Parts: sequence; C-alpha cells; structure tokens
Amino acid sequence: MVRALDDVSLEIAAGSFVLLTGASGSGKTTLLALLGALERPTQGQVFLDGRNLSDLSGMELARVRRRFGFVFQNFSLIPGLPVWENITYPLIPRGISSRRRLETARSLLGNLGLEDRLSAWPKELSGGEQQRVAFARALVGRPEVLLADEPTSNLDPDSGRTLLKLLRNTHAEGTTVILASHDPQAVPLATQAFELEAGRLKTAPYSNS
Amino acid sequence: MRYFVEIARTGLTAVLLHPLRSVVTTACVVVLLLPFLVGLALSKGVEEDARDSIRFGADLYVSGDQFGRRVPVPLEAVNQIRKIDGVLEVTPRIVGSIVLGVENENAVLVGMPVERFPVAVTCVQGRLPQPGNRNELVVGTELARRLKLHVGDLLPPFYHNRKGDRISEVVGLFDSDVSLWQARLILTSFDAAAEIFDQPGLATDLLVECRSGYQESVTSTIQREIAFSQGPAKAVIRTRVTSREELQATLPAGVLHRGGIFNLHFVLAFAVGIPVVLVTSGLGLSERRREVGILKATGWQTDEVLLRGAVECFVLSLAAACIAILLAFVWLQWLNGYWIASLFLNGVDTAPALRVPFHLAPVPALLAFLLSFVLVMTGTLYSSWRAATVAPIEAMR
Repeated sequence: MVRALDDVSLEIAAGSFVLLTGASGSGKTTLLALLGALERPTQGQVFLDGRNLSDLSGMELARVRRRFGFVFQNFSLIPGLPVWENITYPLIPRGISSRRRLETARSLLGNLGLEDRLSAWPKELSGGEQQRVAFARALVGRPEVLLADEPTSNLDPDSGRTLLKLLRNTHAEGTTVILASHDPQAVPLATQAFELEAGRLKTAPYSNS
Repeated sequence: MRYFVEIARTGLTAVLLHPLRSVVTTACVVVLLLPFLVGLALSKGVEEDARDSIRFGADLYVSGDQFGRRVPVPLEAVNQIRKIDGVLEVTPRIVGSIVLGVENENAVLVGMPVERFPVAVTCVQGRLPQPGNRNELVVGTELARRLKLHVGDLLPPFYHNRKGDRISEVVGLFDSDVSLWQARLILTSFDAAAEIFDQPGLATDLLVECRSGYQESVTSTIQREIAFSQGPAKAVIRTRVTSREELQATLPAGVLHRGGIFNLHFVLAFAVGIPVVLVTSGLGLSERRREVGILKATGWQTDEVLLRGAVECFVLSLAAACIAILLAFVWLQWLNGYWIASLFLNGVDTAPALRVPFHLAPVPALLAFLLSFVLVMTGTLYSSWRAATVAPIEAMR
C-alpha cells in the first residue's frame, strides 16, 4: 500500500483561498479528495464544521458533497451530455426542473463568456472552454467550498489566466477556495498556502493576508 | 415527485449515452426472448385449434372399454344408442394410423359415412368419396404435396386384409390449411376404412349428438345399459363415454405438459443468458464507472444512481420486449413460423405448407417484459451499484 499522505495536519478557515503546491505525486490530489469527501482516510480524521467525515454514512457524505464544488484536472465532463446538462446534472437530485436548470446554465455560461455553447457537446469545445464548463458545474449548486485540482495544467496560458480570474471572483463572493496547482500565477491569489513533498507538509503554512 | 421524475428522465438519456451497450444488451435479450414468445404463441395456437375442433365436434364420444383402456366399439351399439331418448344422431368413426410412401410418411386415416363428413371439408380438386364406392380416398393438400399425389392417382395396397389387398384411388384433395389437425389426414368412407384396417363390424368411436339438456341422461343410459360380449370367452366390452366438456378439460393438461417441458428448456437458456448479458453489459463499463464517479462527486447519492440505472434497465427491457413481440408476430404471421414451427409441431416442415396456428397472448408478452427486465437489471444494476459504492475519486480513475 502506498502512503499518499503522512502526518498532515491543517486547518482551513471559511472564506479563505488555500493554495496547495508540490511536485507531481506529492499527495495534492489525495489531500483534495479527502478534504472534499471524495475518499475516506485510511487513518486520521477530516472535520467539517466540527463533524468527523469518517463517521458519516454514504448518504450523509453525498449530502456533504453538495456543499462542495469540484473542478478536476481532466475536466470530467460526461461526453454524451450537452454542455447545459453537464453543468446542471448536480441539480437533478434536488428536484429542479429541466427548464429551470436550462436557465441556470444559460446564466452561468453568460458569466463565463460561453453563452453560445449551451447546447454544444463537450468534444466540440476547446480545453479552455471545457474547463470553464467544468467550473460552471462546480458553481451551479452555490457551493460553500470550491475545490480545484490543477485546473490550469491542461490549458494554454490565456485560458489559465481566465480560469484563475474566475477563481478569484468566486473567492471574492465569499466562497472558500482550495486550489491545488503548480501555476505560479495562482500564488498571489492565495490567503493560505501549503507545500507538500512526498505526502508530508514541507513547510509551515504561510499567509498572504 | 419532481425529484423522481427528474432522476427518471436521466435514466432515459442514459440509454442514449451508451448506444453500443444499449444496442448489444437489447439484442441479447431479444435473442433470448424471441424463441420463448414464439414457442408460447404456437402452444397457445395449437390449444385453441384443438378447442375449436372439440367445440364443433360431437356432444359425446363413445368407445369400448376393456381393462380400463379404450378399445373399439361394436357397430351394434349404433342402433342401440339411437333408441335412447334424447339422441339425435350417432355416427360411427374409424381413426387409425398408417404409413405411406418410400419415406414412411405418417398419416391419419379417418373413415366415416360419407354423408357425415365434416362441413369444413371441401375439395379443392376432385370430389368426396361416393357412398358405395370402395377404396376412394380424399387426401389433404399438405400430405398430397409430400407424397406427390394427384387426383386420379392409384395407391398400391398399403394394408393387408384377410380378403385380399386392393388398390386405392385418390378421388379428391381437400384444403388442409384449415386446421393443424387436417395436415396429415386422409378421409374415406366408413366401409373402406374398416376394410383397410381389417376390422369389420367395429368402430374406434361413435359420435353422438344429443338434444339440448339430454347429455347427462344419455351418458348414464349408455354406461348403464350398453355392453357387449365378444370372442369365444364372451369377454365383456363396456362403453366409455367422453363428453365434449371432459375433452376440453383434459386438453390443457397435454398442452401444459408440453409447455412445462418448453419452460424448463427456457429456464436453462435463461440461466445461460444472464452471464451473456452480464458480459455484454460490461461493454463500456469503464466509461459507465467513471460517469457514476462524476455523479457521486457532484452530490448524487447511491440510491439516486441506482434509481437512474433502474429506469435505464426499464427502458432497455421494455424496448427489448416490444422488439421481441414484434419479431415474434412477424415470424409467425408473415414467415409462418419458418423453421421454428418444425421444432414445436411434430411433422411440420422447415417451411410449413399449412397455416401455423398461433396466438400471441398478453400474459406471455408481460412475462417476456418481466424476464427481460430481470436480465437487464442483473447485468446493469450490479455494475452501477459497484461503481456507486466505491469512493467517487476511485470510480473516476
């Protein structure tokens, strides 16, 4: 068994912009998955508002995930669904009608400069556009915490800059953002940063604020 | 409610998300269901054909009874039964099996008074046997085709009679497509049949028609009063009376017996089918797993993922059942049960010359849908459940 994280202890305050840095394989994605309740820790504990996530049932964990928004490195869009469906799929279990979902997707895509891509298929979009669609999906449920795993690594510099700007705006609106990235352009945005090396926190966290 | 509707709607779109998997799964289920539906439809059709034959037959069938077995009845009984109050008509009949031609075709030879031939029997060529003329045969078109017989053809002696063998003549052909039971039938006069089987003075049974309401009293009178002694030992031949209702009651037993054997075979095919569908459901499994991971990562619960999968199964199985029913109808109606009828009906060719009886009843159709639902559910829901119960990040890899 690979020990992806070892002796990692950190606390993230609501409303902060956290940057996780570190080389590939250092454990950033694993830490993000644990923080976002996408995986249970084999050892240790993750607390959200004082509740230990390990104690929660599968259904409770699913409800916790509704408080989060995720942006994945590889976009993770469903290829067979049009853009608007991809964005609003998280709203379906909340019983929101397709008409309202369509309006929500239109509004989000308008803010992201993709209003004309509402009915396009993921394969028809560029990498930058796909990442913005994934970003819209992460925001659709009005998350309290936005987790982004190297969202700019597959993008050209312009698209990367656009996405970081979107993350900054989202943070400015009060959402907690946890970003795992190598991108040096992300550093000025962070209010807290942690560097990982071989699954351990390399340095003490620093704060921009 | 809207919650369920919205999730159910995603189940519908999920069918189109994986078109290859949907097509292959549906095709596998159709392949399994089609012979099942066709078999049941043929079985039902044969049963209905038999019921019709009984409905339009006589009120009572009288035969001899020895050692609890059915034996021929002496012709003296005809006049004795005619005298019973309430009896309208008594018709002696001989029914026997014969083998004809170099390929040993089995046929059923029925002999009865020419004037009592069934009304449904009309000659498409030639004529019916004339009273008094010996050894005139009327052959069904299906059997005539097999034996290459035409009106006017002479058949060499196919029986042995103590008084000497005689040549028989085909004087007419009747349409054997009317009923399955007429496919291998040869009709002749009662006297000719008695000569062919060398059983003078005997009939295999007597067809009795009664006045309305007299059936029971006639039955009890026959059973009580009519018996014969035969042979040097004066062995007693009692009479056995079978009513139309009794015949109808015994019919399902035979059909259900065959149906049971068929169902047993189908259960075996079904057992083989489950792994087949499991394998085909594995098409696009990694893509499906990743999709479930994305759903879970974005806040879907396991039960919601499974509901979506169940709706997808419902749609696929409904589609498979509808296609199977449609194909079964086409196979039986337009292709006349080509090949498959020969598996279910004894003596029917690969391309049946007679009109194959069938009835696609609603119950087997519903059963087909349930079976396909179980099959698809087994293949689909398990993989969805597996993907939904691991960590989302694991499923997305």
